[in-house]
Amino acid sequence: MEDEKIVQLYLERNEQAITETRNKYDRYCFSISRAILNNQQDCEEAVSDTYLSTWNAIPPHHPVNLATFIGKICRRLSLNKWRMLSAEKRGGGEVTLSLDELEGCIGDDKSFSESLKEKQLAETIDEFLSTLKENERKVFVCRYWYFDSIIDIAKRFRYTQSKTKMMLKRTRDRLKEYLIKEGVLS
Amino acid sequence: MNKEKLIDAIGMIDDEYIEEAHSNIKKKRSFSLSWSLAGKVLTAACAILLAINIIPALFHPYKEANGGGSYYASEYKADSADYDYDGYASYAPSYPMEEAEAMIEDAGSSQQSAISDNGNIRQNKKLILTANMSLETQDLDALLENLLPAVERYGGYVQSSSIGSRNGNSRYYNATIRIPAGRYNDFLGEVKSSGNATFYSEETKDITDTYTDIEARLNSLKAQEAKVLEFYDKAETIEDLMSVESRLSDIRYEIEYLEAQIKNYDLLVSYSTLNLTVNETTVYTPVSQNFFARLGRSFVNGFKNFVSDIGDFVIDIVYNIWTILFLILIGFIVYRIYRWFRNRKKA
Repeated sequence: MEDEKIVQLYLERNEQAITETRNKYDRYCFSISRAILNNQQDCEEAVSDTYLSTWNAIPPHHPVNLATFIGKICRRLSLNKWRMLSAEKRGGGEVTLSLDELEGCIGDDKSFSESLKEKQLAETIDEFLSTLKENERKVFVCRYWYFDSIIDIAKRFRYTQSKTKMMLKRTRDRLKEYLIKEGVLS
Repeated sequence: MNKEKLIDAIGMIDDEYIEEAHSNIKKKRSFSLSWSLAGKVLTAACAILLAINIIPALFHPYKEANGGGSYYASEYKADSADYDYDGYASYAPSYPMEEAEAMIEDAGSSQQSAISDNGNIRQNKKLILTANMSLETQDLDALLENLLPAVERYGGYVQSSSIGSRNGNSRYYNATIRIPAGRYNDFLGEVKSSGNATFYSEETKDITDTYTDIEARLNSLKAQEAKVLEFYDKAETIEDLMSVESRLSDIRYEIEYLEAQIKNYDLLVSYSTLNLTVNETTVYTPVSQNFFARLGRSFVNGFKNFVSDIGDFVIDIVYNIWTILFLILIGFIVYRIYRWFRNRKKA
């Protein structure tokens, strides 16, 4: 079924919408969730929550791109679940690695967390991404949005692992410079 | 935590970038897949072509001595009968080698009795006899010197014949010989004694029904002809004359056609057909029922064939060398193009 029709079902509060979404985006959601949670049961919970949240979010929202809309919800919910789980048992998974990598971009700048709202930061990152070359951007998004492992990214783009790592390192360095330039970091 | 805030913020980036990273993978995959697939398909095609060119040489090593790439259809047929003793099944009816000799003996007596005891049946029955026979000889020239005069002596003729050599060392002689049915058995005995018989099969086709039908039809047409001739004499007007004449020519045409058929059948019935294959060999194939002897013989023959096959294989490779080089070149070019595309995508 086309995305527009599925959204229309949500707007009409027709429960068929969830079934259709599940048929179409189950694998996509699982791939996102699995990269973060690394556990089948947790993934299933996160994906189920995703459908529920989507049901609650439309309306009021009227997404133009249903795939990324659901993807974003799934990513956020999976991350939340990951945080909850990792509060009990720290470590492991691609998220931890990605977070450690990103730590270098930001450091312990206290002003960062206080001064900036998430929304603004996202816009700044959007601007930064637009300055990148296409492949750099794709690799960055694969790593920090989808939490793909370095091995997977290297395979997909047919790079060596070290090249992938170097590319990510340079992009992170540039992100840091960009954030400083934009006054987000001092 | 700052880094988690950053990761959350990244989660909110523009849909376009999220989709781009995701769709890229699909596109990339399909692209690379299609090229690697094309490469594989081409390689497979090359391999198949190679196989088609070379493998037949392994299984059908009997070619003209000059190593030419063409096979003779008739030779193929002969091969299956004379060398491959396990291939009897392709002939109907057929007999194992041991029975072949006895069969030849029997064939004589049974036909003889058909003529003497049941002379009437033999006369009334229209039977077409076709036989296949394989012989081995150590001296082909001597055999032919005896055989060809014998054919004439028995009032027969050689309908077609061919002589050639395989791998330049062993010769063969194929012939279709027609012998008057009454004298066929004597002739068969003579042929059999001139070499070592390794295979014999015969088939008798009964065409009595067809023959009788044609005869009846012919008789009725002749009666019609006589009737029409009567009309012809009585015809008074030109129109009558014309129509009678046209009918007469139709009938006569049909009569001629049927008479030709009858003649042809008469010929087939009165002359038996023997498809003879003579192979020149250094050692006769022994007639043996001992399992171990057969095993040993198979082993030795298998080895001989193997050596000869290897020789053919090498000759075939040399014969096809340009095709092979060309295919390798194509494969190499395709591989380079594939590599080039892959590298370009990488960069």
